[in-house]
Amino acid sequence: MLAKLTYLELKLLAREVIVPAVVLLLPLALLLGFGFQPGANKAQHNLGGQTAPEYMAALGVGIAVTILGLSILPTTLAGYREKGVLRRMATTPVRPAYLLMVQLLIYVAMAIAAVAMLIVAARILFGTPVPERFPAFLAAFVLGMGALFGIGLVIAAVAPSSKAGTGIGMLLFFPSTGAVGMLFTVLEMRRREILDRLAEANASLEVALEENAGLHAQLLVQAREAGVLDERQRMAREIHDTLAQGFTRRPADGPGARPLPRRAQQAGARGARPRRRRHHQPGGGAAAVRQRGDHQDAPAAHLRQARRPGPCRRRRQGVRTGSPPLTGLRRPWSQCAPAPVSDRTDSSA
Amino acid sequence: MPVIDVRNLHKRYGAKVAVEDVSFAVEEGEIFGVLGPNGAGKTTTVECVAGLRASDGGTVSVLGLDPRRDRAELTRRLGVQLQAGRLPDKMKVREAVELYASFYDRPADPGRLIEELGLAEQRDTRFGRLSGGQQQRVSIALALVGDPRIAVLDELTTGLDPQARRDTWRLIEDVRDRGVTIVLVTHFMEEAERLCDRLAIIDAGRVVAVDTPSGLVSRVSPEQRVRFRPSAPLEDHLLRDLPEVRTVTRTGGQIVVTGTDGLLQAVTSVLARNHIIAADLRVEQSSLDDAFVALTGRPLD
Repeated sequence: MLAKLTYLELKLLAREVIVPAVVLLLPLALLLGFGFQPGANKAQHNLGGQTAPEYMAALGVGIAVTILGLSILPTTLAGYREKGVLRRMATTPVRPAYLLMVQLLIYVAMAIAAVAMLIVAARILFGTPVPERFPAFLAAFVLGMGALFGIGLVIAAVAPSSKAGTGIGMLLFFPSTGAVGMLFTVLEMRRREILDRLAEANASLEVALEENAGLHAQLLVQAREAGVLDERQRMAREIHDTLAQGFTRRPADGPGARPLPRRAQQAGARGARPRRRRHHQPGGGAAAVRQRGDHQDAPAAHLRQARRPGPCRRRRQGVRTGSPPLTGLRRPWSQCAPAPVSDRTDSSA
Repeated sequence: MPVIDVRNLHKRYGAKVAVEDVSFAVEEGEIFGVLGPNGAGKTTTVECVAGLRASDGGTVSVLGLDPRRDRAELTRRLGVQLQAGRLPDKMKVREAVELYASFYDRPADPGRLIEELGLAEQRDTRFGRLSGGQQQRVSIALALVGDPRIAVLDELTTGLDPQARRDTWRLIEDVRDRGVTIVLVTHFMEEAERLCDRLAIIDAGRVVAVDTPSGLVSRVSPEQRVRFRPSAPLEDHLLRDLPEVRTVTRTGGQIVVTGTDGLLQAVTSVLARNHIIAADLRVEQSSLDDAFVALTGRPLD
């Protein structure tokens, strides 16, 4: 009786065609598909150091058992409940429990067949080792199958129809592929990728900061040098002016003296002022401009200088310019330079 | 001694009472009908008889067995065809009958049963491809394959076309002729009237009456009805004066006379005396339908 029931149920299953094909061949197809990809037989960081065939063989075990437990089992048994097959059996001397037992027996056999095919195919085609800790593998397989078939039976017990059984099974199927790690593997890979990218960005940022700090220090040194140079030149001019004024002073300049002939006054002014200007211009402002790398502005400054009405003419009109004419050019430099230096240049103005 | 004895059966699902109080007895060799509208509690009653449900009150005895306690023994002697019971679509007729035969110690011969039920041509056809009538015949075959002494057939002809229904009726009579007691659950009046030796009418969980179909009919209204079209005008009082006549009504050109036994003879003799010919003469007796309406206060279906 039991043999006949088992045989008939097997025949019915075989008539479904697609169902046994999916369970037995889908894991195998995945193994072959991924196993024959170029470079698949190298250990891969993403797969936890496994090769693709190793990973797919293990995954295939899970897929076969999950399809059986969450799809085929609830669909078939909910269909039997819907059709009243179990109730009809309840009116015969054979308890419907036998039908459930036979069903489970067939599914266990199918799972074993699928796993055996996977192991053998992976071993022969890709040299994947047979699970090394075989008792542990067996225990995991049996426990996993028990859990999934248990869920399948619960679905079959509550689903009102075959279609509802399929639907509920599918509803659980996809989250469970996440729970067994398929989804987490993907997430973990993405997480790692993002971390890698962040680390890269950090490194390049650090390099950039270092470079920046070097540049800053160099700028500081240059600014200080420029300041010192400027101060020296200013002092030299002061000394020069003082000496020049000392030489050109006459007793007639004193109070109550006769004014000098106009010509002598002009000669005195020419001796001091224009020279000061010449000293000042290339040595101070333009030099600083050049050091800042403002090459384009320097010739322009010369040009402007040349076009301006000469200081002699201004002298003739009796106008003494209190501020040096290059203040405008100097300003950017004084803004960039460190404070003590800029103070000193201001005082010279 | 009755083969099935149901006394004060009571069954409820939660707060809903499916069977309030049902009692009946089935004698060996008869076709016993359980008739009632949908939702009257017929199926629950037979499920208690078949031992598929535990009753909440009352006693059920089938061939001297308690359907719940002696289930294993009962299943060998009681064949059940449950309402809307199907098989896997891809199971073939012969496979199904042989499988169910293997469940029993001394089954009927599957091959002969298939032939007797007129399924010889469909023996290798899958269940899903059979017509409704053929599927019902497979169901009957499975109920009979254990060679039971009693067969319970629930809503056997629901959903069948008239021809298939008539074929099925003939089949059930054949089965009865082989000495199998049959309990037939139905909500078709015609089916009950045609097949059943005795009937229990169930309404709202209670047995309204148990009797033979004709007994039920005569019990509610021993009335006859004569309908005809007179060839010449006829005075009402000529008929109303007859002792057998109770009422006279006219609808169009037709006269309908109701009364007790001997009504037809009395009416025709009056007509003959007055030289009136009755055209379209029809005599109607109360049917089980009328009995049902009288017993339950509403029509079936």
